[in-house]
Amino acid sequence: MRLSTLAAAAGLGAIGLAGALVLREGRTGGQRPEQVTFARDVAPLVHAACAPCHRPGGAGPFDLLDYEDVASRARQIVEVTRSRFMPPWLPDTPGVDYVGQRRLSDAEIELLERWYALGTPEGDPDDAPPPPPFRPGWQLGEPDLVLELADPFPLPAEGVDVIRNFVLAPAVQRPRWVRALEIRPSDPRVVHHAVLKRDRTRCSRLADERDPGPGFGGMAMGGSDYPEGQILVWTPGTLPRADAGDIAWRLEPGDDLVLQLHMVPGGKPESVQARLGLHFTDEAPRLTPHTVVLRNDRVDIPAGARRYVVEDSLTLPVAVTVLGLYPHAHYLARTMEIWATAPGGERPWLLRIPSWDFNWQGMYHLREPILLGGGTTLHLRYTYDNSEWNPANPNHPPRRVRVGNRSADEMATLAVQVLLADEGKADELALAQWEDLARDDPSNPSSHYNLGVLRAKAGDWERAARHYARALAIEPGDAATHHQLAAAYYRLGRAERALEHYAKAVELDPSLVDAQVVLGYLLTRRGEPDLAVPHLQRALELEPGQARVHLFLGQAHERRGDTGSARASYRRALELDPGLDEARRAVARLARGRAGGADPVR
Amino acid sequence: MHMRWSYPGSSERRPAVAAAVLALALSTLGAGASPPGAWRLVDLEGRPVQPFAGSPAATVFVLVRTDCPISNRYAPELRRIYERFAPRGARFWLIYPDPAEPVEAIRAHLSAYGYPMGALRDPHHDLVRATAVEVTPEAVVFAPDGVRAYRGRIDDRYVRFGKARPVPTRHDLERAIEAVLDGGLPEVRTARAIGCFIPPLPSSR
Repeated sequence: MRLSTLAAAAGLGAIGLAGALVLREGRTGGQRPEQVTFARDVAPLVHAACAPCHRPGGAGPFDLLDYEDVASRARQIVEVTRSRFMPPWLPDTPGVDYVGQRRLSDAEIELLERWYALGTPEGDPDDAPPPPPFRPGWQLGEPDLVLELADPFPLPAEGVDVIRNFVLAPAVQRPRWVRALEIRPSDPRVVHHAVLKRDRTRCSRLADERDPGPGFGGMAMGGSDYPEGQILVWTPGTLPRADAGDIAWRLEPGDDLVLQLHMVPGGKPESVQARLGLHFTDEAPRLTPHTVVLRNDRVDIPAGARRYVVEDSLTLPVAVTVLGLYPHAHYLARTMEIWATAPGGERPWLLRIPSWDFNWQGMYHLREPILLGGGTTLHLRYTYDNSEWNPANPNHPPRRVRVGNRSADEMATLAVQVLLADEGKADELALAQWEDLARDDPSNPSSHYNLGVLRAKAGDWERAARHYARALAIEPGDAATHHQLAAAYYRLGRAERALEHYAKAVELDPSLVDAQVVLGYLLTRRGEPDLAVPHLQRALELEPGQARVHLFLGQAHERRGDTGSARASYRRALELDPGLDEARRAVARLARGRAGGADPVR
Repeated sequence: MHMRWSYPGSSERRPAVAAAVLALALSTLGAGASPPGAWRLVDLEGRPVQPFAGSPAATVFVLVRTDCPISNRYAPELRRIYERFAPRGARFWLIYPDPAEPVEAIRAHLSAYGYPMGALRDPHHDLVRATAVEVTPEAVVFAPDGVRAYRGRIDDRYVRFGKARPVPTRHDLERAIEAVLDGGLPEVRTARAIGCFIPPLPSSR
């Protein structure tokens, strides 16, 4: 099915919302009606605000569709709407609305109370609107690709929340653009939210293999990350977006997806399965969203602290348009405030959550994206309650809590999805973020590593090397950092330092093919071909089809004086790549009987 | 002192004692309520059942419904409590107070959640009114002499609707049953239960 350009443009990325809901306000705005009936007043409200979950197959444990459903639960409805437990919607931001927000106005809550007080009159059944039709199955139609968990997950009957990660292999044959996705758990009543990330490493597969049982546990998701600029979050009752702006993301052959499910035991064992439906488009996206991340990793909450405040800020070097926000914390957070301060003095609100509930977190898309000029500062202020008085406290008695991935740890992060006014400034924005993180927490090697990557990308090898060196000073055992530093030194012409770090990199991680290759090459060049050979052979074990590696191996053999092996290697290189002139010349040279040293290894 | 209920059809009658028991039972009832002997409780086939027959050492009613997530989360705990106290003579009954719940749904519910105790319905809300229970799950414990020893929550896991501790700190129902089996009454006689409100009968709306 082809969507209109506008709908396709609205794409997806963030799937955290119920797009079609519009809460009635007209009837209840202004004066209080004398008579309130189900048919005329309550049904439309309940159908809009409650029925998306409270329907057969929905996330709610019972239906709220007809008079009997609603009237028999009137007292309950009044209580949970007054406490704002239902509908589940955390934000209450002055002057800011979000797509699919499920929030009743004060007038609507009073209407329900009045109806209950009047004895829940039905009114004329003929006046009652029919329950909204719900499309069974996939809400966006049949997906292009459906993935499901390799094995269902056995959720126990009781216990604390279970957070579990499942590796899915889309195994696309060619790069695809994902314009929409939908997650359908086998039982939406049991899954409280889900997060999807993409893994271009093999880390999540390794984590899965190491962990018995389907998937792997914990909040960290292996080596996976959000696809560029996307924040893929699903909560019960959300409908997948078909109108999020043209921001499809790229899925390559070999990419894995990691689906994290947050499940809540419900009193009996459940076998949890989930299906992920992907919709592709052949049109490359018009827009590229970016994710700006604020985080404070110095959270350190003493046991018993009732109002521990965490703040963070980031000044944006360039103008952005804010599309959506995804705040994240664990069980102890109580309030969240996120706002911006503009150079001109304006202080627009972005998101305010007066009463955080880990179970009902979500991704919040602004109904009207907010433009922030360069020089605007983003702020967050979260408070946490680590006392006995916080029923959500996972520790009894309360314990000191610091930053970490386990649910008994805490986090203070915010991901903001933005569009850049000038796409060319993307690296500048990334640099600002990592510099901010590095300043806030100099002991975190990731910031330095990522700054190194950005500088390297810009060709600033000097600064790249300095950043990598700082990362290594903190974490000397990281193979990837040694590898990157080695590459930077190589570019700077400092072969000895390069060699030193390549050697360390492969010592720590022999599977780093490129490092093995360059190390072998440099060793030969330094006059140590005997040392070079094992590294080059290792590289070929990992990736046999690399013509250049065979060439380097040939050169090493030649330097060693082993012309037989050299010839074999050169020939193999030529087989793999007939256009490889160096190999051709080498074969010719050996054929003329001249031994090694005639052609300098370049 | 082990009393016996006097109820229609019983082969033993001890009028004086029965009258005293009845008076005591009535004194714990709300207005418009009927005494336990007159409760029109039925099993899933619709047959009348006298839950106190045989004068168990303690009688425990737990009000539940098939679609209340709070009630359902308590299923493993209720099973444990049953396993702990039934061998000591306590008798347990699940009470489904909503006549709108189809019997097949109740049977499926019992099976899915592995409930070992018997299930009854209270189609006229005799028990509901007499004990003034309001939500599911909510428990009522009777001593053998007819005194209502406890009414309220199973434990303090739920702080309010939607907010639960990971682990309860006070196990009120267990303490109550323990006290009754030991021949006395619990310290805590009522503790407010959090759960899904029991809907009133259609006729009374």
